[in-house]
Amino acid sequence: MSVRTAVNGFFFEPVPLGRVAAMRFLAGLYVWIEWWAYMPFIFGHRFVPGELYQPLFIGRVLPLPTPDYWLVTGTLVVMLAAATPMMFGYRPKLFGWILFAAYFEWMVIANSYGKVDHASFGFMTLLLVLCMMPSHAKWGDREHRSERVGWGFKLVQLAVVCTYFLSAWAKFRYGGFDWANSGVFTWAIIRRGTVFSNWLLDFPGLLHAAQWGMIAFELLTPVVLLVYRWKRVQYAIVAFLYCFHVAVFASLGISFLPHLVAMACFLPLERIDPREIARKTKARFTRRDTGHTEREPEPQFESGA
Amino acid sequence: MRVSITMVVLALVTATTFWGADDFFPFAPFKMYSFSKELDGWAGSTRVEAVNEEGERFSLTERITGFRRAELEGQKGRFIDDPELLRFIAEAYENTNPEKPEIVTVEIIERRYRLEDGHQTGEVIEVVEATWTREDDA
Repeated sequence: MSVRTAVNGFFFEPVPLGRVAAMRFLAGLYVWIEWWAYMPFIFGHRFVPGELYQPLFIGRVLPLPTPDYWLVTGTLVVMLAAATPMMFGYRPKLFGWILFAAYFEWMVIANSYGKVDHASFGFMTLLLVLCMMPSHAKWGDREHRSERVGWGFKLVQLAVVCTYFLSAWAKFRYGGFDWANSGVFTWAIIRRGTVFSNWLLDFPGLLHAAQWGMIAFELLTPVVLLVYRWKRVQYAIVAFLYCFHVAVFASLGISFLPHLVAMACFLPLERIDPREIARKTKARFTRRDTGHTEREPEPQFESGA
Repeated sequence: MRVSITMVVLALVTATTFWGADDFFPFAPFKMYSFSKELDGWAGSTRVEAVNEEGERFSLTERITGFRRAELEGQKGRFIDDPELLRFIAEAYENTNPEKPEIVTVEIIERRYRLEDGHQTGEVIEVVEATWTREDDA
């Protein structure tokens, strides 16, 4: 197998259209949840005086106005108005582009006051590639496969992996190679500890080991891309990553939610068909007397055909 | 073509990991918790407190100002150089809560925990790093 076929096989692995419909829904759902539940401070920025706005490079190059009450509110309204048709597959490309533009401005509003978050790189990539995917993607479509979809989701997967892999390098850059030997987790727990993590402060050795484990796993994350032919292995690694985020959420209350949404494109979401599920549920209730119960298969852990 | 686009994006995000800064968002170093912290030293935790017209003291949290602690820390140097800027945090609070009594004083306070070999020694100090008080004629 030549390098060229290997590269093409990697980037253009055909992916069923059903996954596009599922990811559009998840992306829109996240946008609907983010502004009031996950990052309410972004909407809160409408009350923050412009003097505290610290424009980023992009905000200085593009003529982006200083956020005020109406800009923040307007961006939110446009974002939600575009997310709704997009998530149900109505003119998903048109509304996808509007959503992408509005979300980008939303992120500028979020990140221009002295703190830049790094959880949304994969999610912004997802919003962008969804604009370029076929409009006719339907839930549960496992028949029609597309190389373009495969390429788009591969980009998102790369972005997700970069978020881990490059963050290890950022630790070396800012924290030095001794990062893993420092007290960074102790500091993090003092600042944002929870009942699940405060006890760890008494065991600095354990935190020290966890820091080494974290560096090791971040540097190893590219493996999840390389094993794309072995779906069971890939899903197991993705499951591990989700567990990692559950643990971080329990101990620090940080959840990287947009990143988790983007990461879902690793999973065979085309197996989910809401209409099918509704029909089966109905059938189960009507046939209850036979005592026969059908269970939905756990989609994450089935091997890809 | 599509492979090239991918490579360019990858190159950008990789390059900014090593040479860029947060300023280049969305291509920025993924530096969450990337700083080393001394095992022997002080671990700091910053907060903003306010005193209103009625003399009540309370924390200016993200929920009531729309301004995050991390944002405060990101701009802390500015606030220390020019404590006058703290009045904008008071403004953010008053915009968010127009019916509440106005703020007369804003303080940035850092609580520092002494660490030795990664253990908390129990020694804690609080330092007021910047203060702003409303002038009466304002």
